[in-house]
Amino acid sequence: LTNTNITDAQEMETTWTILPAIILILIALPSLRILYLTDEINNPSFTIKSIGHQWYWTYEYTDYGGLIFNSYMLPPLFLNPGDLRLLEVDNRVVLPIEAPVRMMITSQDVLHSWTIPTLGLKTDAVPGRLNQTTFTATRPGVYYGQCSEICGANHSFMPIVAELIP
Amino acid sequence: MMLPKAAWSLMLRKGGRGRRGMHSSEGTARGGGKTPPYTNCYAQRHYPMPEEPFCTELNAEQQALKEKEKGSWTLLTHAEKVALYRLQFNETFAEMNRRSNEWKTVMGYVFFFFGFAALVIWWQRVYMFPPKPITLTDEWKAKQLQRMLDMKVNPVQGLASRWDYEKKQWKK
Repeated sequence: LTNTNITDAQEMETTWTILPAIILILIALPSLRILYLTDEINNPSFTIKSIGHQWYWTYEYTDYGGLIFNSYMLPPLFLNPGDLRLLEVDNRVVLPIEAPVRMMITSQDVLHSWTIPTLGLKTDAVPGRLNQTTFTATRPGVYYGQCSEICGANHSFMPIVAELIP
Repeated sequence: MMLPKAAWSLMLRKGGRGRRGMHSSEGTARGGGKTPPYTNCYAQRHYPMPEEPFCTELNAEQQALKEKEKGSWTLLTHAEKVALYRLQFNETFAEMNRRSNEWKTVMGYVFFFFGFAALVIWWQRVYMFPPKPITLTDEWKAKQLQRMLDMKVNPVQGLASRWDYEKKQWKK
């Protein structure tokens, strides 16, 4: 369609490209500053390493002695009545409440993502890199999450279960 | 040339449509295959002015009319104008844009394929799908729900917030 009423308005087109770009930059720079300002310093009292594999998680508690274990999903045949299918694991991550916890997350092979939505946590597990997330939980209970970065055939079958105890 | 209007119409209509009767006008979009003298059987809304006139082989009366057209148009009678239009164009705009019942055929096919797809899905469900997991039985779901309420999942705005723990029932 070559309607001449809608072609050849270079001045207006330049203006309505440059002006929004400037406005967006003016929004972006303070936003970025605020993003880093809101990063809290909470002096964690507890550090846990979470390592993603295909297709399970490994948790390392190395602060006070060395405890390392794997966390596999429970197949449906192994569930107790009332358990959540595709969400239960054999070994849960046990964490204290009311204490700042630092999770160091990485991966042994491909990208994974360690997440517990109710606690507001999601951090990518990147091979060769240590990502850190901190949180302080206030309510005891069992919290579930699922791997959030496509990592192969059993990506949907490597859940994360955190058991928060007082 | 001063024949009465009806006679003009009759003569030109026979000359036009009489020969046209054999090559029945197929409405819009006859792509290739131009058969003289009626080469422009495709009149389309987006291309309403074809390059060549509809009727290219004119008999004597038609040629005479074309000569008359070269003069002042106010001298043409209504019937002559209509005849000239019919020589130039296959269909009027009203005829070209006429509605058809094609939509009924289309919808018929659509619904037929809906039905066919439904049959395929039903067959798959019966013969191909594996059995449902045990966790989808009512009994399991009830135990699951009880466990979730015991764990107080989402107590602020979600599931547990809608359960009344004193009265042991859902909040009204």
